[in-house]
Amino acid sequence: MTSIVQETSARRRPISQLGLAARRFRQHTLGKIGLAIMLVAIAGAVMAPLVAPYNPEAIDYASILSPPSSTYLLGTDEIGRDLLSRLLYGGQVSLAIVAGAISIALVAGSVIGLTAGVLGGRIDDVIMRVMDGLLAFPMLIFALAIVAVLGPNLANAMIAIGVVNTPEFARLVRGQTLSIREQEFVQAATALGASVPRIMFKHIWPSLAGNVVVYAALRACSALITESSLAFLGLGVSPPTPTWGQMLSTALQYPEAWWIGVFPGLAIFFTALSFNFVGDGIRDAMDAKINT
Amino acid sequence: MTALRPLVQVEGLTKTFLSRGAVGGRVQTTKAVSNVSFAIGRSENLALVGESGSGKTTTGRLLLRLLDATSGMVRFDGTDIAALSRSALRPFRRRMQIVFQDPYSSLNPYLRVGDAVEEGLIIHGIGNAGQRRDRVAELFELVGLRAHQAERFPHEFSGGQRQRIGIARALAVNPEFIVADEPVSALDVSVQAQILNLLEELRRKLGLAMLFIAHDLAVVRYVATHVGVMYLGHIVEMATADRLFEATRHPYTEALLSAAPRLELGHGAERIVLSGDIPSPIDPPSGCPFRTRCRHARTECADAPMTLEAVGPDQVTACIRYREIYS
Amino acid sequence: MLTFILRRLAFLVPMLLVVTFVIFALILLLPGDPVFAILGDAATPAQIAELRQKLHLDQPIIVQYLVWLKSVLTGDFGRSLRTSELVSDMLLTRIPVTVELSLLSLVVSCAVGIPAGVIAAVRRNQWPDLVFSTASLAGIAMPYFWTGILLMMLFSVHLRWLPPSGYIPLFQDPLMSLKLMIMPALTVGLPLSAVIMRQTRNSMVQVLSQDYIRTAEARGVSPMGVLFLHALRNALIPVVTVIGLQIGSLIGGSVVAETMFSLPGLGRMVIEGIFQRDFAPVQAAMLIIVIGVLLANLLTDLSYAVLDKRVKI
Repeated sequence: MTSIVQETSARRRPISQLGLAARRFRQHTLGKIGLAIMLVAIAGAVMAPLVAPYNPEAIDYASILSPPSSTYLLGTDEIGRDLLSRLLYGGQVSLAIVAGAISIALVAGSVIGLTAGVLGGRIDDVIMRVMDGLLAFPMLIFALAIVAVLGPNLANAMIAIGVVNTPEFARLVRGQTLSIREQEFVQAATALGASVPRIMFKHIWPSLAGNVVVYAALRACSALITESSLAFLGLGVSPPTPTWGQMLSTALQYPEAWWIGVFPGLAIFFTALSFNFVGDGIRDAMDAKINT
Repeated sequence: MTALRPLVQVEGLTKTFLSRGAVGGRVQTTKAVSNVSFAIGRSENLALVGESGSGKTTTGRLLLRLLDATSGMVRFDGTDIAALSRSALRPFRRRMQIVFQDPYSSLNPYLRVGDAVEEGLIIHGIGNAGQRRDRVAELFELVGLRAHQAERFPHEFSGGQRQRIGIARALAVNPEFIVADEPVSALDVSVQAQILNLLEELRRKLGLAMLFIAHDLAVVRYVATHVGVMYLGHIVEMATADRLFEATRHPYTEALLSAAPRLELGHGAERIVLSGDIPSPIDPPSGCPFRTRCRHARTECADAPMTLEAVGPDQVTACIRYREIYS
Repeated sequence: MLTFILRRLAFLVPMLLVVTFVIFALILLLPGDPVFAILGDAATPAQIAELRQKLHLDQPIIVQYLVWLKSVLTGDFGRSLRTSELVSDMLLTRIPVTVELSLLSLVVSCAVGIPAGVIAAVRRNQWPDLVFSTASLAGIAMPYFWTGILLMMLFSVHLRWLPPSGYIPLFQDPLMSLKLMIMPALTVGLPLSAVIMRQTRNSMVQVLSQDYIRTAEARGVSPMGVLFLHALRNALIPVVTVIGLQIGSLIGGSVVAETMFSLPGLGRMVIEGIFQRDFAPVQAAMLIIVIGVLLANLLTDLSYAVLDKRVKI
């Protein structure tokens, strides 16, 4: 197969177009909705100590599994803890893991992709074969296995989800690097004797950074789902730290308490959806060409 | 071409590209540059001329080791740089530079143009921050821009201005040799002459050797001291500029000359229109590569191997029939 | 065609090397020395040295890997630490469950996704399109387990139509077996159908606007004939690719569904192994899962070649 040269829209975009992109984003309805939901989720998590009506660990034996009421807006769980407060605090853990994991994947994937793309040849072949091999693992199972060997805690969940998302970033960055590498300003830097890291980070990276950020927002959606799946399967951060996925696993034992099954799920669902909308919004605003 | 050791000497330079065809997935080889040899002395300007796909740009890239040669030698001031490691190559990078064709893709859109010009100085550790800033200002003035424009981004400049910045970037490290890869062909005609003048003026002033790549003989006539004509990866004729224009000894050169707009009105030469397309470099013709489009082609042209024959002290041609044709 | 298949198979070899090495290397990351885990703290140095040699732990990692790979290639995955059962025997009982679940999920996702996509494309920008497109957008952000919980709450708790969980082999009691499989298959299949629907809609819209469809209409082929004989066949080609790309996600969903609904499949084998810190079954199940994904991808490529005569091979 002849390699397909991807057109990078980032190519000739001058800095001032950032403002233009912001204006276009503001006209993107779903993007705006997504941003609003995302900000609510982040604000809820950050300000949980201020806005949560109860201590998330506080147990009220008098109202175990009580349905939503004026006292407990979203009801209580199986040992009488306030679901709303737990949801707000749960966002802290889930969002922190997503942010950490996507940062890891973004940095690692970009460095790997840039290296493969700039050096090319045999090194590129080996790196990309390894990435293809890693991509053959179903993401959730791969993450499960990593958390299983490293042990379930916040840092390891970030690492696991970060690692399983890395190959996708590497592939995206490498593909774009291959086309930017052929641009004359990169050749000019080579002719000046610029080192490989200099070419990678000073000359190629700025042209694809925008696309990588868009991709990060889109991947955050699946990272949140992976995170909550791990927690749901019992491989998340250890209790009593609440996470959305973990809260849902108790719903399996108390299926009559519909509120336990519905509200944490809605939290995950809307937050994940908001990442996706925001990513789509930025992509359309920047006119970036990324396939998801 | 000169009695002294030439600055750049190329021998048997060959570049083969491998590509996997979309159909069948078979590996195909394309000889972009075939056994090319020439030399450029200090303060000489060799122009390489040919249609697109003739291998002239690849040759320029090979000279600067922006591409690795498949075989052959590129001697720069006596050292074969085609064989050097990346780190050993570095000191040579400073001595040879390039000016690109496309003023839009040749400047990093995210870098202030002053930083782009300064980059070579940083890479090669020339001067401290203050000295570098002065040097950048000096370079901007040298290429006809204002020093304060260094703070701007590439999109704030016109094509001609960008090309000036590209020239400043190349000159920043005080090179001895410059490859100018069709430096004006992407510019408006009105700007072309300005940039050509600037380049030629600087070349003379700084005593630079140059490889000037072009597809337009009219441009070449104005700047080159020597001219090599390329066709399908081969040099088919090479001579001093005067000889090449006055005593052409290859039908392809003749065709290119007749296609170029003439300044002298009423010149009696007939216009030769090349028929057909340039053949595919994947499957080039046997013998003389030009024979499929040559009006003088005979059967023997398909058999004779490609060699350059000396016509005079300053001229070589690949045409085996030049004696009959140009008697 | 044969060379195409052979080339694809040759391409799989480096992938399998990477995959097997990763699966092998996971065990190296485990904290603690396996020798102590097996012998206990009271072991003598001689015993330790002997076991180390026996397990090739005194050899470089690459040798350990090759020893492991050799035994895996001969079908020897070792024994479960927990039950002493041969891991290869465990695989034989587990694989059919996951295969059954995956196939049923695939059926669900196509049965929902393709018609929905066709309807949305035909009624483009009208309310059916709006409904299906919104649903498919939502499907992207639906975690498998939440779909499962909602289904369980609806069908087992409120409506009491379906038993909440359990597994009966298909041949033992086909009706009950399928009944138990409905919710897991929906759990995995519904989110997947969102992706399929979106792709079907998009490629159908594209195909319907092309000249040969108009020509067929002009020739007097009935609207339904146009839709099914001409448009759908061509629109399905990219859909097949999308399905192939989703196989990994489908199997990831199976892990969740098998755990939720107590199905003794490969995914559950991974989870059980992890919780019991019994890693030989985890490795074996992961390897089978990945090989399954790779084979599914291969099949996708082949069916793509068969469906689309334009792909020259």
